[in-house]
Amino acid sequence: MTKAKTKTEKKVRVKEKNVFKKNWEFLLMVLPGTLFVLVFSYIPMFGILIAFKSIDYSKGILMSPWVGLQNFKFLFDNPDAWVIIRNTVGYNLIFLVLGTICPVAVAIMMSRMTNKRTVKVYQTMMMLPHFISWVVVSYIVYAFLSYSYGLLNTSLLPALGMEPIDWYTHKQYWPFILVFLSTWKGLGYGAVVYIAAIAGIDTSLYEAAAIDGATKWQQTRYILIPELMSVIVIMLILKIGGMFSADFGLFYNIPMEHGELFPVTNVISTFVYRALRVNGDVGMSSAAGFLQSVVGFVLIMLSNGIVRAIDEEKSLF
Amino acid sequence: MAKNKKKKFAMATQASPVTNVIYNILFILFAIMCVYPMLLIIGSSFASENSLNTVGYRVIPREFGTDAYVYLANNASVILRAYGVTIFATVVGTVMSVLVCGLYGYAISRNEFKWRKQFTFLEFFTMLFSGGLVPWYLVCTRFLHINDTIWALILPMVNSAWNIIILKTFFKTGVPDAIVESARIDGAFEFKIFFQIVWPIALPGLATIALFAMLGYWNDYNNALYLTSSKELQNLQLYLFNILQNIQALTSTANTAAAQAGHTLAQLPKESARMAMCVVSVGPIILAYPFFQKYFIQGLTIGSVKG
Amino acid sequence: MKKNFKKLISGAMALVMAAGLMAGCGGNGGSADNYQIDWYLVTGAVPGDTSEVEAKVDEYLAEKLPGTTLKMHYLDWGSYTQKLNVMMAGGEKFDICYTAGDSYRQNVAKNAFVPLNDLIDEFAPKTKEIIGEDFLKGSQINGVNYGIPANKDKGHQQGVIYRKDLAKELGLEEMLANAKTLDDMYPIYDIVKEKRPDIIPLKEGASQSTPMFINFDTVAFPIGFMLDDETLTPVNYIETEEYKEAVLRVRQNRLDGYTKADYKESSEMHFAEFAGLKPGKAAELTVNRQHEYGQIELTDAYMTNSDATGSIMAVSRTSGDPERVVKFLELFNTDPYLNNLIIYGIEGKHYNKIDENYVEPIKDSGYGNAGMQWEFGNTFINYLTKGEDVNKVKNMEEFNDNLKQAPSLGFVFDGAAVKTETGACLNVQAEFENTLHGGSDKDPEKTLEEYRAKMKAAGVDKVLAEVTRQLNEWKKANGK
Repeated sequence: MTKAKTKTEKKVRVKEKNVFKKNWEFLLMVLPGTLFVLVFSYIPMFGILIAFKSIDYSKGILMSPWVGLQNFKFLFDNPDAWVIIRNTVGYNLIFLVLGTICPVAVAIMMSRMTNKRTVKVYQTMMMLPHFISWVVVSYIVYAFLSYSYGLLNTSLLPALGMEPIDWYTHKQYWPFILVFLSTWKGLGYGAVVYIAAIAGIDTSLYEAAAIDGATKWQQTRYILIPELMSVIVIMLILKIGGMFSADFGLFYNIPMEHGELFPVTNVISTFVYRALRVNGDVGMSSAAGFLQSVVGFVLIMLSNGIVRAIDEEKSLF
Repeated sequence: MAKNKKKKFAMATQASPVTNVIYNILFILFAIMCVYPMLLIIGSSFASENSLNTVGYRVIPREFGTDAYVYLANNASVILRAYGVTIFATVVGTVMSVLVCGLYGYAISRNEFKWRKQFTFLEFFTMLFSGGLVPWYLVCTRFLHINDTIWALILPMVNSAWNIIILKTFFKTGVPDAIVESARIDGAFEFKIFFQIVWPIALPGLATIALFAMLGYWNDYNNALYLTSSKELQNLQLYLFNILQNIQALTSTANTAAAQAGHTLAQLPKESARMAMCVVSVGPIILAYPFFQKYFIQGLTIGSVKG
Repeated sequence: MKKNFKKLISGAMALVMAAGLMAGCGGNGGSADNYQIDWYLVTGAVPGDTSEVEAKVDEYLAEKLPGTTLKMHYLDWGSYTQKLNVMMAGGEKFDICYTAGDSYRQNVAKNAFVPLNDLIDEFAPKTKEIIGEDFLKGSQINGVNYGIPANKDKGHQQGVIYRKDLAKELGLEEMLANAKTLDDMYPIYDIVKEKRPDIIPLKEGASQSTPMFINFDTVAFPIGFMLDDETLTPVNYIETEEYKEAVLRVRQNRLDGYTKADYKESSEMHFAEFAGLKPGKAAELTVNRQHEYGQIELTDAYMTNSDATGSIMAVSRTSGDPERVVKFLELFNTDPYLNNLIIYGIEGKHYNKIDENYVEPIKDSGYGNAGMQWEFGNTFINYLTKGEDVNKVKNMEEFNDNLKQAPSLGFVFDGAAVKTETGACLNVQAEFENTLHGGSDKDPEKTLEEYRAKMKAAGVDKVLAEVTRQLNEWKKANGK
């Protein structure tokens, strides 16, 4: 009996040793990243508690009194809750679709153009918007849309024989303006991943297919897209996690605080920011952040689960 | 040889001449949309304040002015210093980031690594949940004591979960198992495999991540804002951020204190100078961009699988 | 692996605890006989180098407050609040910071500052006398001073500032001198409109709009008091008849061509604009603008809580020696040499003295706070900057002596119980106010109805009830 036991123990130990022997190099590889992520992300995570507390600076975060779900109440206890959530999720869905299709299309088109030098020029130019902060973009948009001075009202519309439009007071235009700007600013940056992914595809695959008589469309459909799929899927999953968050700079700066536009421009983060100005309550913003994280987490787990059920290789984990 | 093949069979790597023209037209249109605002900014930086106020932004200003460049010249020492800080942090940070993320991403992309899922999750989780600013600030200042050092602008951004996960995907799809296997059978260490075999194959992916890291460092002002206070460590973006934010704070109606200071608004740089600063902060990175481009534009032909 | 994970997490938690606990107890700064005062200040133009001025200050302090040195930390407007909030939340050691208004109240509620009543009585008697009982009371929260307000113009009134050069050109000076109400201004605008069509008669929009002429003291928007209401009955601002009239007037101004859409903030292509006034406001503006400006007061001048909390030096809870800090502030508020040194820098290096009263800052000298005097303790002992009115001090004293006191002076509302509602109300305000105050809304009457309805839905009545409740308690306690 005892002999058998020690034998199995030994076996387990040997097995453990083997596991370590097989993995020590990988462990060493993830070590630096792990240290960074522990220090800069995990240790500060105790701050999540702030969402459930009423902060007292003299007591510190841990010792401040608990308030339960009080901080979450304000998000739902307002007449606009529905509009804000609708806007946040609605815009994100549009961004999700356009933010995937456009960069992929751009990447595929670029990879096929014959003159590589011009491609480089286009690519560099498309990167430019990424560098202009939303505040500055808002000045530029204003230069176009201003009622009395804007380029559209002073040059373009009269040329087309149209009356000037007061852009900043008519909300019907804004979903398009915001979606356009978001796409415009993110396209060059977003395409980079796919361009690199296409560059990494072994061209001999096409070669073989072409020899077998596959048309270009077939090559795209059956070689390129499947090869790109893992990148697309991962990017989608990661973006789904941000479903409840929003690009604050876009929604706050571009409409320039025009209240008439709130029904189509107010999102969770702008709402929280405006509420914060009067009561300066970090508990509320932490609560909003926590809620965004939880929703994002659930959505990612769900979508990852679906992907895993279809093709485990392509899932996040 | 290869060229002949491409001509004989219609390969999806190249567009037909007609399609090529259509693509070009599309890209030219979009490129104009991207460049035009930049030209507006440049044009405005040469405009007199008066013409900005009356006719607004124009690519070719109605009235030329030198306010902006007088302002830049007066602040040349500050701006050059800020450049130095930004460039140093960007270069060192990008190198560190690519190494750390590259190794991590490679390890979790290998099926042989037993805990790959756990370590993927470890990174992924931080993309969603964060403790917020204050605890992070405490860790940096009380625990690491990196505040008011150049490391404050580098270390907090070395690890990027987003980049690691993208890299993992690149390694998984772009690096054929066969190559890694054959190297392993030859008895090579995992590190050697990574640096000698995987690295060159995955260059487009690594260049992408390097680009992302570089843009991240270049555009960062958050770390500088919270973790540095000496003027010597002010980076370019913080300098620009402060200028823009000062103006917002002073013109915003919600800020009672700032309303009191209404007239100090005039101390701030004029609109044209702000535009000139934007140009100054974008310029160098645009020049650096082609360096990364060359890795993912041409594409790499992977020959080593067969051979 | 799961186990390892748990271990990792518990290890991390231990570290966290340590960090979190540290956050609770403030730092301490040096031994008793050698103490550095860390002072956080806000400015639009951060000085390049403060060390020379600090050295001079230290030299002087060695004599007046032995063992004390000063370190000034200037921050930009844009980053000041953010950075200071994080520092306070993190329990970082510092001694004094500039604060004001909402931010002051919020941080007091979070226990960021030291109660100063006793310290002021003991170590800053002269400051107390200079500032005056009423003003000091106005800056209290529940009877406690957490900072020392700056001694400056102590109230505000509404009026108009106008382009002097245009007034002269169009011969409007006499009409302007006789203008006593908002209505008196319209004939003037008509002349401007007729004679100078390129100039917009009136700049109106956002915070500078007709409704500001309603004498209203906001407690928690939109709840507050009419300043002339001695009974001190809280009302809902946007439900008042006055507000309705004002927003209709805004629209009429636009229709009559007195105002223009989308008028650019920084432009000076207008004749007049509304402004909160104090003595010398126009002269101050002139210093930094392209044209010369004059001012006309159109309402009574009141001292309210927001005036009293307009510029405060608060002492941090993390200060190692609040007693010494208050002593320093006493010296700073009463000693012209020290005060001017900190505002203008070193004579000959950062500014030139023109005569007894006047100085001229040297451009790009790397230090100087001209234009920011209101932040620095006691405006009455500053040098005047070139261009300012010789009688600035005299006028200001006169202004302060003639202020009407808001009946609510000293009443501070604690919004903790209704913070959900006040947050929602602010969002509703943001949605409607710019529209109604700018003049571009085509049917302000209908919009106002919507505004009112939405404010109701946001829970404004609950805020009103809470204000009323707290006010009754306050009235009882203060015998009103």
